Amino acid sequence: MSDATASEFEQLGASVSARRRFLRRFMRQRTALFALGFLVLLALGAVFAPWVAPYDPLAQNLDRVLEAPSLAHWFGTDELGRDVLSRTLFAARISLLAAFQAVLIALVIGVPPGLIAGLAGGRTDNLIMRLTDALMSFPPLILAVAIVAALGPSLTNAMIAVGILLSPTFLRLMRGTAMAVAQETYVEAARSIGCTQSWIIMRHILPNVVSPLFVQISVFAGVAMLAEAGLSFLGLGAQPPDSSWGAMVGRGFRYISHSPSLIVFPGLAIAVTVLAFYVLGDGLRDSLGREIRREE
Amino acid sequence: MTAPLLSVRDLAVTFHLRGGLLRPTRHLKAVNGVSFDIAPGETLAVVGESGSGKSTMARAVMRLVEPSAGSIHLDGDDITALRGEPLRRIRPKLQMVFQDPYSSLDPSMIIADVVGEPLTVHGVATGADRDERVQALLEQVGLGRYHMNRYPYEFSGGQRQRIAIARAIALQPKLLVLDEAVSALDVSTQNQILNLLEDLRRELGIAYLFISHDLGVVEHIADRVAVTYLGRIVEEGPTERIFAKPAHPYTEALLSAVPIPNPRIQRSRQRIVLPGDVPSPLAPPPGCPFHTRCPHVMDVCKTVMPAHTPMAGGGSAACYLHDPQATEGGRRAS
Repeated sequence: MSDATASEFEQLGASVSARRRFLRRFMRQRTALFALGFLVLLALGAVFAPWVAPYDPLAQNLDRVLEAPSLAHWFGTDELGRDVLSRTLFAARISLLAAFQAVLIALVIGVPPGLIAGLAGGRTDNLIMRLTDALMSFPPLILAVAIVAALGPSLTNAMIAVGILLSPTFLRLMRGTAMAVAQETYVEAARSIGCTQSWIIMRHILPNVVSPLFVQISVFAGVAMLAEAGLSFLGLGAQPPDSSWGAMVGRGFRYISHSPSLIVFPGLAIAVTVLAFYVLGDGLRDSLGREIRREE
Repeated sequence: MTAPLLSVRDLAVTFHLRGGLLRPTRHLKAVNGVSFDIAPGETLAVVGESGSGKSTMARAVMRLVEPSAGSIHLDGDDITALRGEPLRRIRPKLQMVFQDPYSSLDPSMIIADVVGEPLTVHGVATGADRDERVQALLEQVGLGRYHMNRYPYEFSGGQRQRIAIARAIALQPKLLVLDEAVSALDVSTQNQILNLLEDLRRELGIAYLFISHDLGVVEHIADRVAVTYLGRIVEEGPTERIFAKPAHPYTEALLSAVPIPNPRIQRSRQRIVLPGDVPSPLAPPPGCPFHTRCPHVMDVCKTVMPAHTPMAGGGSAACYLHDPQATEGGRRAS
C-alpha cells in the first residue's frame, strides 16, 4: 500500500532515477552502510598507512619483543619488537590488494565465457560448462597449492590460484542471469524493433546482468581475503618482508602461548573485514532486487 | 479489392521439444496450415483459447519464430525467409505490442530511450531531433514530455502499454501486431487503450493484427475475425457476420461464453458448454481438430480435415455442416 502511494507520488512529483532509487533503498540499510563505512575507513587507513601508522612497520626493537598491548604499542609488539598496530595497517594494503587481484582475475576468467555460454546456448554452452565442471572437480586447496608450487610462492601467484578457483561461480552466475535476461520480453521486443544482435547485448542484456554481479563481487572479496589469509598462513602467499594479515597470524601462531595478542588483532581484522564484505553484499542484493518493488 | 498488405499462406510453425535419454524428440505443431490476408488499414482479430497458437502465429508473422512451412508476404515482398540485415530493413513496416507491459520494457532504460530506440537503431533520428519526435509520440499516446526521463517501473500497466504503443508506432509501421495487448489490463484501462488504438488507426491508417481471447473486445475493434483452434483457423469472416451468424460449432460455443451485460438475458440464455479439454497439440486428433468436443460430430470429421467453405455474409468456415456433399456422405456413414 505504502509502495503504491509512493509510486503515485513519484509520478506526480520529480522523477526518480534508478540510481537514486538504489541509493535511497541502500541508505535504509543500517548494517550495510556501517559495513561500507568500515571498509572505506579501512581502505583509507591502508592507503595512508605511512602517515597514520605510529611506527615504521619494519623497525625492530629487540629490547621490547612480544609485549602485550600498552599505551606505547596499542596492539603490542611482535617477536622482533615491531609495532603490531603499524604492521596491521600496512598488512591491510596487502590483504585488500590481494582480494582485489583475486576478484579481478575471477571476473576476467569467469564473466565473458559465462555470458557467451548463456547467450549462445547449445553446443557452445555445453562445452564451456563441461570445462567448468572439470575445473570445479579439483579439490580447491590442492589446486591452489599446485598452482603456487608451479608458479613459485608469491602473493600474486596465490591470488591467481584463488581467482581461478572463484571464476566458476562468476561463470555460472553470468550464464544463468544472461539466459534469464535473454528470455525476457523486452529482448524479444528489441528484436522486433530491428535492433542488431550486438546492440541487444550491449544495451539490453549487459545492463541487466550487472546487479547480481555486484553482489557476488562483494561477497567474493571476502572469500578471496579469507583464501589469501589461509594461503599466507601456510606460507604460500605474502613473502617477507611484505606481510598480510594471514601471514601475521601465521608468524604469530608460533608464539601463541607466550603472546596470544599477536594473532588476535590481525585475526580480528580478517574476521571483521570479511564480515563487512558479506554484509555489504547482502545490503546490495536487498537494494538492487527489482522484484520486491514490482507492482502488479 | 486492393492488394493485401499482409498475405499469409499455409503458415506452419513446429516446435521441436527435445527429449531426454529415454524420451524421443516430440514435435509440437503450434500453427498448422494457416492462411489469411490483411488489407491496408484493416483490423483482423485472431481469437481462440490459450494454446490455440494465436501468439505463435503473431510471432511467426513478426519473424520472431521460424515458420516451418508456408509463406508470409508483406506489402508484396516475400519475408518468409529473410534474415539478418534484409529482415532488419523491413522491420519498420511491421511492429508489435506485447501482452505483458511489465516485461516488454527494459527496466534499465528511461522512457526517452525506450520510445526512441527504433528511431536510433534505424538511424531515423538522433539527439535533439530524436527527443522531439519521442515527445510527439508520447503526446500522441496520451503521455507527456515530463515522462521522458523516468523509468518503466514508475508507470502503471496502462501507461506502460501506451509507452509500448508509442515505441511500436515510432517508425510509422503499416502493420501493427497486437498480441493480447489489452489482456493484462483492467477493464477501464482496456477501454482507454482500445480507444487509443482506434484513434491511431484513424490518424495513421495502420492495419492491426489483433490477437485476443476476449470476443467482447474483438467485436468493437475488428473488421474481420479469424477463429483458431489447435493451430488452425476454423472460421473466418466479417465481424458482424461472425457475431450474428457463427457458422462453426466452435465459434458458436465461444460466442455463447461471452457474458451479456444484462442479468436477465444472461441468466436465461442457453450456453453451449463443450465437453472435455482442448486436446494436446502434441497429439492433435486426426481429421477436424474439433471433432473430440463437437456436439455435431460425424464420422467424416474424424478422418479428413474439412476444407474452408465460403459462407453467406462473407468469410468461410472449415466444417462439414456447411459442406453439402460431405454432410450427405457423413449421414450415410452414420
